[in-house]
Amino acid sequence: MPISVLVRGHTASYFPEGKDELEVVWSGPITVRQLLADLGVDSLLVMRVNVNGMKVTKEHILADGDEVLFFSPPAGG
Amino acid sequence: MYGHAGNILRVNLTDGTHSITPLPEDLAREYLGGRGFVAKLLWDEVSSGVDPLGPDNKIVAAPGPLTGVFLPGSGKLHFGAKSPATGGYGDSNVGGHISPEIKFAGYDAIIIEGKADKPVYLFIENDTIEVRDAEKYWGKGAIESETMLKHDLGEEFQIATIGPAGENMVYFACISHDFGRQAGRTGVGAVMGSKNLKAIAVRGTKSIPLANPDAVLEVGKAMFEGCFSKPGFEEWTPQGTAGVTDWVNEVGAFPTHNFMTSYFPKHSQINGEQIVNKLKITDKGCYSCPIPCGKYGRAKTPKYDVYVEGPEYETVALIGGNTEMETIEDVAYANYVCDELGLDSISGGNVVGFAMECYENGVITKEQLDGQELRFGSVHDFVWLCNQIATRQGIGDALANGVRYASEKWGKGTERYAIQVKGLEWSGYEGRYAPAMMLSYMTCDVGAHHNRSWAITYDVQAGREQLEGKAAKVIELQHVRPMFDLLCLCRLQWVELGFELDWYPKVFQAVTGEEYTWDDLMKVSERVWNLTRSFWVREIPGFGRSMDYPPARFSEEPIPTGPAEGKYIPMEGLDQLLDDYYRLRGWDLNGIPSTDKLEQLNLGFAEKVVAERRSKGVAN
Repeated sequence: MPISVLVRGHTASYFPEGKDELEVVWSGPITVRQLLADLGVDSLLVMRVNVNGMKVTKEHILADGDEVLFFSPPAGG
Repeated sequence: MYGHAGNILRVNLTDGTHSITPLPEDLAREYLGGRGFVAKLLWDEVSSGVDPLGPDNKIVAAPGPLTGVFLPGSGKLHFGAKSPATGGYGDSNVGGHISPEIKFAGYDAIIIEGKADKPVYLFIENDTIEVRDAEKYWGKGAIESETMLKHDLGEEFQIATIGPAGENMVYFACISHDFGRQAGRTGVGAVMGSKNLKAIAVRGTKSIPLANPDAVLEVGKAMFEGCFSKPGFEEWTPQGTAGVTDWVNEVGAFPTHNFMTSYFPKHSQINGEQIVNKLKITDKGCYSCPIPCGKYGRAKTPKYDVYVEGPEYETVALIGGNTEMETIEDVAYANYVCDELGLDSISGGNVVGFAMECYENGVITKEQLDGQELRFGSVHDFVWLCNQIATRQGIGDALANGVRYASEKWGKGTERYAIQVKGLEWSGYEGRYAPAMMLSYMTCDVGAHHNRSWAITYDVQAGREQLEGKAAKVIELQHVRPMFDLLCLCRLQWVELGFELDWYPKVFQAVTGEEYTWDDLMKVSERVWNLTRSFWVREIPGFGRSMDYPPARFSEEPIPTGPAEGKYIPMEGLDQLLDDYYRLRGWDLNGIPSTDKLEQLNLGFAEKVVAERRSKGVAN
């Protein structure tokens, strides 16, 4: 099951190879939280998640071909 | 020199004279601009031991080599002076539109020295430099006086002002610009006030020489397009920096009840969503900004009705959480009052929180306040105290010198409530469960400020309890983030959008014609960091490790509530962090830069001074 992963902001540096765009393949149902764990990223580092443009929780179950957008917490200000 | 206007403007307020001298090439080459110019010029120009609020202190205002150029976020200006808040190195930056205007007027730095014998403002219109009477603006609010000057001089002038707090030399008075943006920290506004300087008004119509205009256009266009095409670009702007409020509570790092705890149960009432729903009229950006973080809005209740830019995250944290305001309207109103009085809302919220805890514990009594109360959660009490501080009335006089001074004066254990490092009040991230963030505050080169190293996500990823490896990350960030301050670019494109850092050497070369690798830029940033550290050594007798510790609350009191409940970093942990940090920086165990390090960074002139301090046994 291919999933597109996009990361907005500085948290991308904690994703594999520091990339803000990834394609991952997964067999079977997976939640957003499990996906983050599989990528080695603490789920607290993601402030918000959109799947296919819609805001979801980290317990959302991903589907084949989903585009997942992770938002970093804004820094400073 | 490409990228630079080529001139330094020096204004003497004592006799009203000015001079214009060429920008030294070695200054541009070794310090780049902005924060680098501020640090080097303060070192050279401000004699050791001067009173920060005396006529011998100087203010330096410096744009950078990329200021005013067609690039994302090229509108930052650095102000600096020996800090009245700390007695050490002080600087603070502001966005808006005044920095490009200074470049367009023909200046890479403005040095303001002496003291006027009556209120004045500095008028700059290209080559016309005048010290003008400011009696009619004196006593007016920071935004009110900016409005008046715009009316009198014309909309095309860019204005920086101080409010009553600056006039009365409150140690955390800020310099205000663009109706709600501030160079907020380290008391630069108090230094303006000490010189009877109410405002700086600038208009420039010159151009900036570029090494390769075609390349600048090409790279600039690509950088803007790069920002616009980043994933989720359009979703960052609506809430601005206040969008992080819920997250900081979720990780247990939100200053609450004068930093007694790190979680505010009512945080969802003062978060970015509330700003959008209840305050915001429009987004407001700085010069050449693709992601406007400013939120201009209106706070209206039966008790007040004000227009205000903000609140941004730091104000939400220090006014909102730290004094426990329960509505976003109250936070915005208190923000407005601070802005108009010319008070830094970070130190302002911290100082008021300190006073509220003193009141709660009976150190300050209602009788001493002529019947007034100081209750957490009361915007009325907050505003009352801010007015007392800005005008130095009653207990406001001691508080106007910051929490370090007030706690030393009042005693009775109040130093435990004084949340500061080196005399600068702590900003919006509690560090008891975030060792890298804690170390960032401990070692920041202006006192307890977050912007040099925002390391809390590294704590989350690498381990909240873990101390190993934290110092290296803090040092890395203390070079990367201030690099933007050398160039005078906004760093939010990098931080918030994830804009790639390798763009910056490219664009630096296109603008200046100088080939600097990323490592070269980091070397300059390290040079400036070691110079500012040396400034502290020069100015503070006995300066060293003892001034890098946080208040005892953070090493002795477990966080009582929230996600970080029970957490704190005991002294041995703090010492481990400092030992690692000093070793990696090439400093001795007292936190003094070594001879080798200073010479390696071409800071031999500073080494002479540091060595003298060492020989007297005051540095280590």
